[in-house]
Amino acid sequence: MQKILLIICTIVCHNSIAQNIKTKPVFKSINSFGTAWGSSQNVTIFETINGVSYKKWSVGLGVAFDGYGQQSTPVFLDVRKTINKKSNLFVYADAGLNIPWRTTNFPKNYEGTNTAAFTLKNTFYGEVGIGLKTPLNTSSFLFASIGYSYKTFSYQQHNINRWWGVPANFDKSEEFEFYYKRIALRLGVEF
Amino acid sequence: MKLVSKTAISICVLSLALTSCLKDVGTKKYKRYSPIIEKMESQLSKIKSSTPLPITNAGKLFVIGNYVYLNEKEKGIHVIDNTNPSNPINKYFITIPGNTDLVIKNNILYANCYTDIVAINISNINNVTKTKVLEDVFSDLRFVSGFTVPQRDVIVGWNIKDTIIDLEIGEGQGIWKNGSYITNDWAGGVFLTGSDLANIGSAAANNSNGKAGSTSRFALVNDYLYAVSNGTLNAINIANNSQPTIAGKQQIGWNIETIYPFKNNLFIGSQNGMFIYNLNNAAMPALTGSFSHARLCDPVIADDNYAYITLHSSEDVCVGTQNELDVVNITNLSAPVLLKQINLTKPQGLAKDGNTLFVCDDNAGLRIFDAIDPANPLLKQTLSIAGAYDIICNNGVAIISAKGGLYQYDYSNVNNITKLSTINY
Repeated sequence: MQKILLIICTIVCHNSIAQNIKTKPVFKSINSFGTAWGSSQNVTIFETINGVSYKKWSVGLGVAFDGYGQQSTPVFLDVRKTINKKSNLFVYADAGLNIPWRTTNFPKNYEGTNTAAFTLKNTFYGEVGIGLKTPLNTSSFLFASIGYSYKTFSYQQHNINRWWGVPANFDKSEEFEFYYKRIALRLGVEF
Repeated sequence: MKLVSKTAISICVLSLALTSCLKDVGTKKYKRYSPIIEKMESQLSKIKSSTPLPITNAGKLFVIGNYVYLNEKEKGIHVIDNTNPSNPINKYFITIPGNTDLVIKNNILYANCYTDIVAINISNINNVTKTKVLEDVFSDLRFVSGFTVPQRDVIVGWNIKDTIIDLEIGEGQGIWKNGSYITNDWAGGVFLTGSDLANIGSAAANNSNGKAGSTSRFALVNDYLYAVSNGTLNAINIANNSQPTIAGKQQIGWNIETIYPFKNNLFIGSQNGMFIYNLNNAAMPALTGSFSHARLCDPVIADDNYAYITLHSSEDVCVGTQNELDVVNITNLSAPVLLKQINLTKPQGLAKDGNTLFVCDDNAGLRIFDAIDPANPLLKQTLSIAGAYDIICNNGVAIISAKGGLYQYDYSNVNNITKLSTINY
């Protein structure tokens, strides 16, 4: 955490060249890695966003890998705006679906010694944040950002052996929902 | 540059502020059940006959004379006049709370009313009368799903309440790590760890008084009624038909589900295997041999040399995933040998008449096998019967209890099996 904040500060200090904002829509690819830092764990995160930018605005479709809580692939719409041309300060907002991975913890069917099967659900994923970027050359930038990331994870658990407190032939399933709130720190390149 | 510095400071302050209020949370939704408890005596007092009721949730079958007795799960028994199998008539209903199993001998109906076995004189079907109550034979029904009720109390139903609880998620919890779910919530952590042979030969469940299905927990042999509960084999002397008495009782394991008599033996199906008990001492049958399989639900029928076992998975009861018909050589009763496994959809009740083997295969229908070679039955055809559950073969007529109705087929010509009738539920 401290290291990442230090890097952010370093970028800020060296950021003296203003971004040359385009006047026509151009393709933009934003690729980053970082960490999601929450009360349960800290994990490494990756994402790529591809879209277009026009003047101070850019919009794109993002795909990420997010291992927090349960591995998942968030797919989301990203909107960001450069709010200060001189300092290259930008804000961004993401909203979309969190698509969980069906790992061995969550078998689809009753197999072998499994006593439960799982129906995984696609749930909400969102993030808002602020960042700074510094030019690497005329068309690409190095950036750092910090954001508040909200990821939900939900599944229905169908139990075979949940007999304690549940009569036979009655609904033995349970629904779980988890709400993960993290700080997302990212470093990346934009071109 | 001044703005940039301010921004950097803001970011640092913001991150510290957010960190202090970040906390992962979770919820669990489930149905919470609580039992509705009544006195056994009040349930026994409800036993009576009445005009017919619609069939809605059919269970096990018993056939005697021109009548089919069809269990309405937990409610009682439909009495169906089957003089003409092409036109069966639902004539009466006998209310027996908690009933699941039945047999009849000499106009005495033996049926369970929750934990008790009741002898009921049905000679006057318009006014049936209790002649004897054997108390607490199915005592395991007082221990249901973690709830225990005192003797002479019974669970007659369930209150259901939708429940949501918060899951406490502390540091390092609420996540899935190294194949395990990490939580301090007990409930959230639970998952972490994770017939009737009607006519095999002509004996079998075929007693002079009627035929039960392969899914039955009751079997009649001479002057004895054998009844299996979840873990107990009860020998009930019915020499005096209207006044049955417990002659013997023994613990034989767990998860017992069915019993099937053939000649001098009882074939008992449990979720873990088939047990063979000889009747040399009718009041206290003795274990002769056993055949183990994965934990599955399993009705069984048998003849002199072969036993046929259907194994099926069940989300509600059984853990395993196999769904198959097993053919077992029982020439040596003390050492049964598996001969063949045939994969099916979800096989349940079964019956064999001559060289024809019938298997109820749930929504796949009724499977009909050519068993000229009894060790190697060959599937000849499948009748489309949704939710086929149990079957009795009676004089060339297959009577099938299924999810959607009571079906009857004439199989006197196995090459031209014809539907006789259906009572739709």
